[in-house]
Amino acid sequence: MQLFPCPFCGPRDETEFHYGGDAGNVRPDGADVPIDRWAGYLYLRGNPKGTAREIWVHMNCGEFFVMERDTVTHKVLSSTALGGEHAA
Amino acid sequence: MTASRLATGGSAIDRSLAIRFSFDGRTVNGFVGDTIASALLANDVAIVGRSFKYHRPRGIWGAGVEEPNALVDVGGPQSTPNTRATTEPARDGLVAKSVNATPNALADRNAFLDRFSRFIPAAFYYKTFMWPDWHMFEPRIRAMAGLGKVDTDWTSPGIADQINHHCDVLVVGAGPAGLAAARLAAGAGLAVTLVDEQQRLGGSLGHRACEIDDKPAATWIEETVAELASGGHLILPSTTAFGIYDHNLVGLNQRHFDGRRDTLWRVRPRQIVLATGAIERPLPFANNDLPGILSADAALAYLRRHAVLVGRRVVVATNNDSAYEVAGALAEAGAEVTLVDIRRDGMPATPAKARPITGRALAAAKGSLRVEGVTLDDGTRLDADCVLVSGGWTPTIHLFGQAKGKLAWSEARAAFLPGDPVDGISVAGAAAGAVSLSEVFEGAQKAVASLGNTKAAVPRSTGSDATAGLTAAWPTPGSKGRIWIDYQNDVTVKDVELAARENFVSVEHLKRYTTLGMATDQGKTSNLPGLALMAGITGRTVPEVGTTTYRPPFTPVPLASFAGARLGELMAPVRRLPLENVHRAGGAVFQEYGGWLRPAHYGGRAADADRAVQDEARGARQSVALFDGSTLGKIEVIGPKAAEFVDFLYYNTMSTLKPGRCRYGFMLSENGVVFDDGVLVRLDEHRFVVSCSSSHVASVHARLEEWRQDRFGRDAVYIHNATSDMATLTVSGPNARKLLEAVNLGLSLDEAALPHMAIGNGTYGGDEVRITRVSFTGDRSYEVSIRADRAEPLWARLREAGQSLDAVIIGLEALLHRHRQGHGRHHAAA
Repeated sequence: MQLFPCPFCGPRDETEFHYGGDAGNVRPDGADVPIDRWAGYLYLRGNPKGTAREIWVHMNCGEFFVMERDTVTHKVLSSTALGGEHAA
Repeated sequence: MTASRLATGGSAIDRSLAIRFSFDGRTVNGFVGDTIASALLANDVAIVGRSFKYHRPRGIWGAGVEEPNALVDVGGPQSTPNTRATTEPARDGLVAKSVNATPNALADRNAFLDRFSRFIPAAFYYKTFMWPDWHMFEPRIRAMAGLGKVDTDWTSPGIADQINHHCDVLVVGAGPAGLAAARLAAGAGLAVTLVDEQQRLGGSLGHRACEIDDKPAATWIEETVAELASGGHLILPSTTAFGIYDHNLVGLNQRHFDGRRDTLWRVRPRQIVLATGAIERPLPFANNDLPGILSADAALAYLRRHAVLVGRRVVVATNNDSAYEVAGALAEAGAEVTLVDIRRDGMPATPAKARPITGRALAAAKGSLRVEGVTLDDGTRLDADCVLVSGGWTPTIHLFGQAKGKLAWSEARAAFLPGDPVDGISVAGAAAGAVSLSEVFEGAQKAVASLGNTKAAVPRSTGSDATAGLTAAWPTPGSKGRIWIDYQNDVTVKDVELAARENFVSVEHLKRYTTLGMATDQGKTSNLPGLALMAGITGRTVPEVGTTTYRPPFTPVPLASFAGARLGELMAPVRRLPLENVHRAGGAVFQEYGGWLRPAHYGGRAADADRAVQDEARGARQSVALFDGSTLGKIEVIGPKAAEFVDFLYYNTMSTLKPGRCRYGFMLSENGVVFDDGVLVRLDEHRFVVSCSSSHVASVHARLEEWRQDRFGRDAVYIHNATSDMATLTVSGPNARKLLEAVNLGLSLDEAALPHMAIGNGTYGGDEVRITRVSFTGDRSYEVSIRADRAEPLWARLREAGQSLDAVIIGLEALLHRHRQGHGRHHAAA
C-alpha cells in the first residue's frame, strides 16, 4: 500500500485518497471554445510512463492537491496544496 | 520407511505431555511440541496424501513451509483445509484428514489414474475437453483433481484482529542472521520488531550443530531473545511476513493457538532486514516423489527437534556438503547410512559409520507405495527404507522479489541471490547466499551497518563453520523415467519438455502451460529446477530463462485476516436517521436506499406491504402526511463568491435568486450528463444551501470542494456539509398548512408571507427551525429543518397535532409510488 503525503494531514495510506485527474488539464472557458479543445479537455489523457502530475483528494480531510509521482517506481516526488488559482 | 521415535532427545518435544490425535481415522500418538508431520513420522505413517493429478501416494518431504506433499484438512473449531502438516502443531484431539484421496490416502480409489499418466500430460485438458463444451467435463474433473475440502458447516470463531504497527527495523526471520541483526539494531538504539513463522525461534540453529560466542546455540538464542525482550522490542513467533507491498508496507499474519483467529499486522518499518533463510532442493531421479524420500535437512530437523529417526536403512544423496552432517547424525542415531555424492573430489570427510559412494547420482527410486531402494547411475542397486536428498539450497528471496528487487545469478550457489539493493531493504544470512555462520554474522552486521553505531558486539562462530561445496545437479532433458519437479501439481521433466516442444519457452508461459509452481506451495522446491531444465532444453543459461514474478502471499493467508472486522453490516455500513428508533417504535419497516437505512413503510407485514404503501399514499392525498426527509442533502455554500460559484455549478442561472427563495436546478458532469438535481435555497446574499439527492451527498460535496479548491479559491467560498446536522421533517398534503399552524412554529404561513418556493424562519422549543415550501408530492408541502438532536419532540408534536386530521406517516415507498403514478412535480431527490 502506497503512502501519499497529504499537504494537510501528512503521510497517509493510499486507500484514503481518490484520484482527481491530470494536473494542468485546464477547463476551457467561454462560448467560442473550439470542439477539439473541448475534446482534449474531456477525453485526451497523457498516461505518462514515469513522472506524472496529478490531482488527488484526501477523502478524510477533503484536501485537493497536486502530486508528482513516478508511475513506474511508485515513488512520490512532491505534493503541493492547490493555491487560490486554478492549478496549472 | 520404518520411522520411529527415539527413546531420548528431541529439543522441541515435551515427553511429559503426551497427546493423541487422529489422521484418516487412525490414532496418532505424539507429544506437545510435535507438528502433525513429526508425529505422523514417529508413528511410521508413510503415505499422507495423494497427488493433485495422478493420485500418486505421497509422503512428507520437508519440515517447514516448503512442504509440497503433506497437506491435511484439519477439522474441528479451527477447521482449515490444505494445512501443511509440517508447520501445523499437533494438538490433543485434533482431527486431520488427507487431501485429494477417497476414502483415504492409503487406499485411494482414484489411484488408477496414475496408470494413464502418459495419456494425460500437461495441457491435456486444454486440448481434449474442447468439444462440445468444457463445462460438460468440468464438474467431474474438478471432483477427481484438487486438494482439500472446505467444511461448509464451519462457522467463524470470531473476528481477526488487524494491527497497524510502526518500528525502526523489522527483521523477518529469527535464525542466526535475524537474531544477530535484531541484536545489533537494538544496540544502535532502534526499535526492533522480530518475526518468525515458526513457534520456536532460532531457525537452522535448532537442528544444525554450531557454537556461538563459545556457547551452545540454544543458550545463545535464549540470551539474545531475552535481551531483546527486556529492551522492549517486539518479538512475534508463529508470524509469517507474507508480503511486501508498495512503499515497503509489510504484511504479517500471526497465528494463535488458543482458539483466537489469526492477527493481521500492517507494518511500516524504516528498514526491513530479510533474514529468511534458504530452502533445500530435491534431486532429479525417476520416481523421486515416492513416500520415504525426504529433504535431508528435514530429516535432521526431525531427528534433533522431535527425536524421530526417519528410517533404518537410509540412502543420503547429495551434491553439496550440507548433507554430511545429516548422514553423520543419522548414522550416530543408529541408522545404516549410505552416502551417495555426485562429486568425485573436494568433499568433506565421510562421517564415521556412514558408507560413502562418490561420483554417483541416483537414477531411480524403487517401490510402489513407499520407497524400497534406489538404483544408481551405474546400475548399482541399494536397498533402503528411506532416501534423503539434498540438491542444494534456494535462498528464500520471495519478499525481496516482491519488492521488485533485481536478482543476480550465482554460479557458485547455483541459485538466484538478491542483486541491486532496494531502498529500505537489506538481506542477510542464507537468503543472501551465506553458508557458514561467520558469513552469516558478517552479513547481519552489514545489513544494519547503515542504521547507526551499535553497542552490541557482532556474534562470532566458535564451532566448525559449514561449507557449501556445491556441484549443480539440475534435471536434464531426455532423462529416463518419470522425474518429478513440482510434486504438488504433478509436473514432471516430460511436461517441461512438452512445453518447450510446443514453444512455451518463456518462463511465464512455462508456468501457466504446465502449472509448474502454481500450487499452494508456490513452487518453493520446484521453481528453480524447472527453470534450469528449461534452460537446458533451450540452450540458455538459467538467468536468461529468468524467474516468474514474485507475488504475495509467501504462504497462504486466511481470508479472514484480510477481512478483519469488515463483515456483515460493517462490510458496507449504512447511514442512519436521527429518528431511527422513533420510527422503529412506530412500526417502520426499514430498507436500504442509496446507502441510507430508511423506513420503507409503516406497519403491515411483508406480505401486505403493497397495501400499507397504498394506504399511506392515499392518506397523503386525502389529508396530510408526515415524512422523514432528513437524508436530503444540505450542503451550504458560503462566501463572497458564493453566487458566482452556484452559477458555475448549476446548468441554470442561480445568482438571480432572491434571498429567502428557492429554485429548482440541475448540475451537469463535465461530459454534459445530468449529475444531480434538486432545490437550491438562498439564505442570504452570500449563503446558499444545495439540496442534493440523498444518495449523492458525498459525491456532490466532493465536486463542490474540487471546484472550490481548484478554481475559486479557499477564501472565496466555503463549503459545509450540514446534511447530518439537521433533521428535515416534511409535512405534505391538502391539510399540511392546517397541521403546521396547529404546531405553531412562530411564523406566518400566509400565502403572501410564505409562498411556494420560499423559506421562512421560525422556532420550536427555543430552537431555530427553517421551513422550506417545496413540494415532493404536488400537494402543498413544508420541509421543516431542525437541529438533529432536537428533532424528536418536534416529530412527536407533529404526530400529535396530526391525529385530529387523520395524518399518516409515510415511508419512502409511498413517495416513490407517486413517481409510478405519474403524479407530482419531478424531484429526483427522494
